[in-house]
Amino acid sequence: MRNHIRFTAASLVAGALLAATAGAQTISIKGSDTLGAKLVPQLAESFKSKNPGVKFEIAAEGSSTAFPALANGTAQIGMSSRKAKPEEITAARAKGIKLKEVEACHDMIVVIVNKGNPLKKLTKDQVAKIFTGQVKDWSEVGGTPGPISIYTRNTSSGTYKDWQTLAMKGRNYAGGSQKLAGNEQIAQEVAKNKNGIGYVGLAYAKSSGVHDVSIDGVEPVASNAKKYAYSRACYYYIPENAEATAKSFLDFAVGSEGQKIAQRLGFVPN
Amino acid sequence: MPDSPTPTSVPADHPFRRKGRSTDGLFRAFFAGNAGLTIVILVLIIVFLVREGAGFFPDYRKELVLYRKAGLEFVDLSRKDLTAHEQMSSLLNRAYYAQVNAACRTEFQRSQEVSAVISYVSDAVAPAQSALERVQERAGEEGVPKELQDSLSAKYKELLAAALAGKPGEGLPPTPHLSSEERRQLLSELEARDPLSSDDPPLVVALQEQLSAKQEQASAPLADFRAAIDAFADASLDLDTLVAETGDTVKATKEAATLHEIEIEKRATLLKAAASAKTEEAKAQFETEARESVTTEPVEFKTALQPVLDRTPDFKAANAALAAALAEVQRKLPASLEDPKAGRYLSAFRKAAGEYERELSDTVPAMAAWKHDAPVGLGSTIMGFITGRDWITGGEWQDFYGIVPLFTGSLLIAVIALSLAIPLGVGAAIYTNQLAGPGEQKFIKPTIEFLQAIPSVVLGFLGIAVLGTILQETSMKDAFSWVPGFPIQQRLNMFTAGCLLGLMAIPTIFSLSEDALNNVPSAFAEASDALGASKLQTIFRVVLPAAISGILAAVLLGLGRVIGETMVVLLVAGNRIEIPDFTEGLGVFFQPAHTLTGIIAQELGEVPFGSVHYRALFVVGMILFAIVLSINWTAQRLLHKFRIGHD
Repeated sequence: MRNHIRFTAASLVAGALLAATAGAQTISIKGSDTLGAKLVPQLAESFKSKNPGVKFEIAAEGSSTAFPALANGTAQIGMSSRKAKPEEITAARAKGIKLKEVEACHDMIVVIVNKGNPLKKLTKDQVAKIFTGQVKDWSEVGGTPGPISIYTRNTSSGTYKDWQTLAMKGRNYAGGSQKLAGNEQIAQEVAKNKNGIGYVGLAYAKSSGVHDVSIDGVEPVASNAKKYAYSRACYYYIPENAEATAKSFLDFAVGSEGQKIAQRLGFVPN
Repeated sequence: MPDSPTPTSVPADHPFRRKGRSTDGLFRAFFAGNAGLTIVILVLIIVFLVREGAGFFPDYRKELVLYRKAGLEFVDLSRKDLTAHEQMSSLLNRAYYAQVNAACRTEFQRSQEVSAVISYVSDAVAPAQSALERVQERAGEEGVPKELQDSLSAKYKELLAAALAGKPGEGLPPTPHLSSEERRQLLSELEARDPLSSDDPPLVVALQEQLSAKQEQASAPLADFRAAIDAFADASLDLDTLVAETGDTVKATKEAATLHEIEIEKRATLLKAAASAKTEEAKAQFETEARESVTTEPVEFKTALQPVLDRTPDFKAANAALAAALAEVQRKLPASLEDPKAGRYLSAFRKAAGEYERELSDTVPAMAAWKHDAPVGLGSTIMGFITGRDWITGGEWQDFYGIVPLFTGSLLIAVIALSLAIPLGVGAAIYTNQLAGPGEQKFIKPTIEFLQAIPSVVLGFLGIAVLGTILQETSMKDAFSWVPGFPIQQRLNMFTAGCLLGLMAIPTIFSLSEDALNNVPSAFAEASDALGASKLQTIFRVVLPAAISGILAAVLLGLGRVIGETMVVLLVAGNRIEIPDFTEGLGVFFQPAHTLTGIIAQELGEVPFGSVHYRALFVVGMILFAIVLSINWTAQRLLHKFRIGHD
């Protein structure tokens, strides 16, 4: 009887050890929806095909979720569509984690309107006026008359804040804007509302039911990344003492092969 | 029977006996422990809520003090005028364009009809077209394999031909404002279009040109009006630059103050980490980092603010310019505009002008009276939270926490839900309890209660995918244009959310009302029968009044369920943080809104732990808790107070 118990205990310990070593091959990635919805899962897929046995856990719920997760060790890599704030770096540092910043790729934020909207171009000033609520009707910017409905990301999103800086001179969003969880939802609602306007990452600009708008005469296509008004860099964050697997995944992501995947998904390579 | 041991069936040599305990006592302790644990958990939850939330008001007050000290509040005094001015110009602009566009209605209809046809055709060919695009993109240098290209092109042609013949779906959209020749031209242009080009067919371009020519023609007689609007709009340029410049200054002050505070906090965290460091080496490193962490001086608010205050004369001048522009534009405005919509905008402008003028004249005294070191009271912080009309978070300028828009949203949705659930739930209860036969009863009761088993996220999904879309499409039909709020702009709105919540409240209201009717002593109905009352008379004069307290309690419990529900409102209500526009009358119910529960679910996952925003969400949670608790308590009281025939 005693022996039996000992055997069970020993096998349990062995099992736990095995599970722990297997767990070391799991890379947990958290943060930005812009990066995490399409790009990182595809990178993970092609990384897995080269390195069998590696598992990925990807949670894309907004850039602000990356840093707490990195600090308390529940993520090995953070994705962010904005630079980390000093207090976020400090919070991680206080828990003994030094974060390294890696530029992932560039992304363009594209203004989309409903497919039935004949409007093809806007100026930067008009965009600012629409999103701050100074312009309320499409006829004021030369469109078919109708009240403008604004769809934005919600406050945890890096894109939400980037858009304020890039397009709205730091002013607040119009009170009438509707806050949605991700790029996909914005594209869906704009497709359903003929007076809708929203912004999405370049990868989502070709969704059905919407069309993009050129800004100051510059078309939002990857080759215009330098000229386009609303482009920005996206980042990965990784602890300096990260495991080799996580590091090699990042090398893969910013390497030529990873950048090719990024380009195919509508991001602009570094 | 004191002191006599309780007789048990446990055998004398059983282990429990040996230790001097009876199994009864053990079971008793087990169940008492369970009950106790539940109560302890409840108390812990309340303590946790209060502890996390209580810190909010002092922290928010600290933020508001900084908002004032750094001078953001001062700049906001003028910014308010600027925003009001922009709203006023927007009104005039809308009046102007409504008048211009009224003359071009046919042109608009023509180009809308054309784009309807184009989007019908491109929807139909979309599968083949996007496949073609994809292969083209991936092709690289070798080019697309010929077979693939040919088969896709053939598929495209086939789909195009079917679409042009109007085969898929409801057929080609009608074009009553296009001549038959134009329609033929459009179709042939679409047929000839290169599948990969995104250019508009020539007819579209021609129609656009016609439209802009017509617009130009229509705007000619309104040139004076246009000039007046432009002059009015441009009058704010000075104030705009002034606010932007001083805004940058005060923002820098605020950031410097925040940075200094962060650095001090950083030093504290690092020192704490050093104290608990495991090795000497790590400890030394933390300590050096702590020494180096504070790099900035504390901010002298008074000196930092001086350059902004020095510009007060400029602010006054800009303010006077706005007032002058308002007087000027009012003189130059046309007495009325022909188009009814344009006329409405114009009269809205005239109505708002008085208010705007008052606001402008209030600004200068307010600026003179403003002091950067006036204290911010805790009372005014709390009032600001309860009566605040703005919930602005994650902004660059200043976060404000006011729950009025969230509360209004929750309330309006509850009103919609209850006006659906009360008649249905109570009606069904009356029928089942009083009129239905036993067979029907056996069927209806479990079926309605089955509604409760549908998870709310499934209902939310149903709301987006089915109910919202159907409602929106129905509202577009001309036959319903008399309904206030139709056609519905937003697919996600309070009405859709309210309908779904009503569905969720029906089972609660139904079963509790049914219980209440059941509890009415049968003697009441029998006596009524004996006096010769008909069945309906008995129900409405005797049974229902006797059960009314129970039914009210049922409704209140249904309301508690509606207010506390989260998933459905988060998915379906549209998440717009603004007090709904009540000037639309009943149409207000078709606007999107945000709710008390939705805001917690949407934002809590992402706020930094322990921040003001985080605590604000906890306070919202406490308010919700208090609301639901008081609703349930009232329901219980009602039940006990008006119980009939049970004493």
